[in-house]
Amino acid sequence: MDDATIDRLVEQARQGDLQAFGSIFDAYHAAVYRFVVSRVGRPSDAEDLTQLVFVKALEALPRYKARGVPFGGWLFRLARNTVIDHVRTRREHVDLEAATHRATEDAGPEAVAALRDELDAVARALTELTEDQREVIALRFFAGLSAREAAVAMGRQEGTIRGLQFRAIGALRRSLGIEVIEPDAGRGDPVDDDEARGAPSKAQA
Amino acid sequence: MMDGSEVMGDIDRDDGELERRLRAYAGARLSPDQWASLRMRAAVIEHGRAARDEAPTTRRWRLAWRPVLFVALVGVLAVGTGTTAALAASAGGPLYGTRIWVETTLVSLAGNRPDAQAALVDQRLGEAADAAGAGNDAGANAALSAYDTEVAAAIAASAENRANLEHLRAVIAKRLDHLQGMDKSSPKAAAQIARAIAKAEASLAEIDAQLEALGPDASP
Repeated sequence: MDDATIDRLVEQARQGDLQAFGSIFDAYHAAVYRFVVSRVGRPSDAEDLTQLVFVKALEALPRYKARGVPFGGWLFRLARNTVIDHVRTRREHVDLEAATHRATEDAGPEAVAALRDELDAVARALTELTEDQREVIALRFFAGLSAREAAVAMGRQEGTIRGLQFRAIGALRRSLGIEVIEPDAGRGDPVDDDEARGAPSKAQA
Repeated sequence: MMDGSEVMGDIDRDDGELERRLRAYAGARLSPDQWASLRMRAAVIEHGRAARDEAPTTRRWRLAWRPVLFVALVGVLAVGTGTTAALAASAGGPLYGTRIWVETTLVSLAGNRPDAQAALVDQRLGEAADAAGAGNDAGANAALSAYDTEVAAAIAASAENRANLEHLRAVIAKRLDHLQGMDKSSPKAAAQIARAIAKAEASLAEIDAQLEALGPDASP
C-alpha cells in the first residue's frame, strides 16, 4: 500500500470511517504483531497488545496530524509505548526464545529440523544484541519500517537508527557465522557510544 | 512502510544470506496466523463500532428507526387495537407476517442498511428465544423462519465488506451466548432452543467462511 493510499485512509478514518480503519488494520497489523511478539515473546500477549495498539490508534487518530510525521512511525510509537508499559507492568524478562514455534512448511523431517536449528540460531543471535539494537532490528526487519519511521517510533534521529542497525547487522553476522564484510567508510552513520551500548533514549519516546 | 527487500537493500546489498535468515525467522516465528488476525480485527472494529455508537449514534439510531416503528405501529393498529394488536403482531400471531413485511420493507429505506439488517436479525433471534422459552412452538417456528430469510439477506448484503460481516457476526454471537444460557429444563423449550442455536451456529459458520474468503489481511 503506497503512502498516498495510507494518507487517504488515515484521513477517512479520522472522519470516523471504520471501513477505512479496517483497511489500515489490514495493512499494518501483521507488522505491528511481529514487532510486538519480538519484544514480549508470548504470542497470546502479543495478540492482546496488538489489539490494544489499534484500539489506542483508533482513539488517538482524531488528534493525529501528519505534519511530516509518517503514519507508520506514529503507529509504531504507540506500539512501542504499549510494549514498554506491558513489560514494566509484568516485570518479566523478554525472551525471544519463547516466541511461537509454528510449523513453517510442508517439508520433510530433515528439512524441518535444519530450518528449526537455523531459526533457533537467529533467535539466539538476537538475544546477544543490545536492547536498542534488537528494537531497531524488530522495527526495520520484522515490521518493515523505513529508517525514518523507525526513528519516529523510537524518538531518535534517523542517523542514530542507521548506526544502531549497522552495528546490529555486524553482530548478527558474527553470531551466525556469516562472512563479515568490512565496513566501508560511508556505510552506517556514526553513533555515540551510549547509543551503541543501548543507553536510554535522549529524545522523547 | 517498506517491504523486507527494500529495508535490506537499504542496508547492505551484499548480505542476502542474513536477509534470508531474518525473513525466515520473522515469517516462521513472529507472524500472526490468520485466526489471530481475524480475532484481533474483529475485536478492534467492534471496539470502534461500540465507541462510535455510544453517544451520537444512539440518537442517530433512534432517528433511523423512528419511521420503522411508526409505520409498523400504523400497520398493526390498522388491523387491531391495544393489547390484542400487540399480541397479534408477536411471533406466531396472525399479524406477525405483516409486521415482518413492514419492517423488512422499511429497512431497505434505512440510512445505514447493514446495521438495520443486523438489528432485524438480532430481533428475530430474540423473538425466537422468547417464544422458545415460553414453550410457544408456533412463535418459535415463525421467528426462526423469518430469521432464516433475514440473515440470508444480511449476509448477502454484507458480502465482501469485512466490517459489516464482523458486526453481523458479533450480533449473532451475542444472541447465541444468550440462547446457550437459557433454561432448558422443559423438553419442549429445549428442542426449540436447540433449533435456534443450530441456526445461529450455521449463520456464524457461513459468515466465517465469507470472512476467510476475504483473506486475513493485505499487509505489504
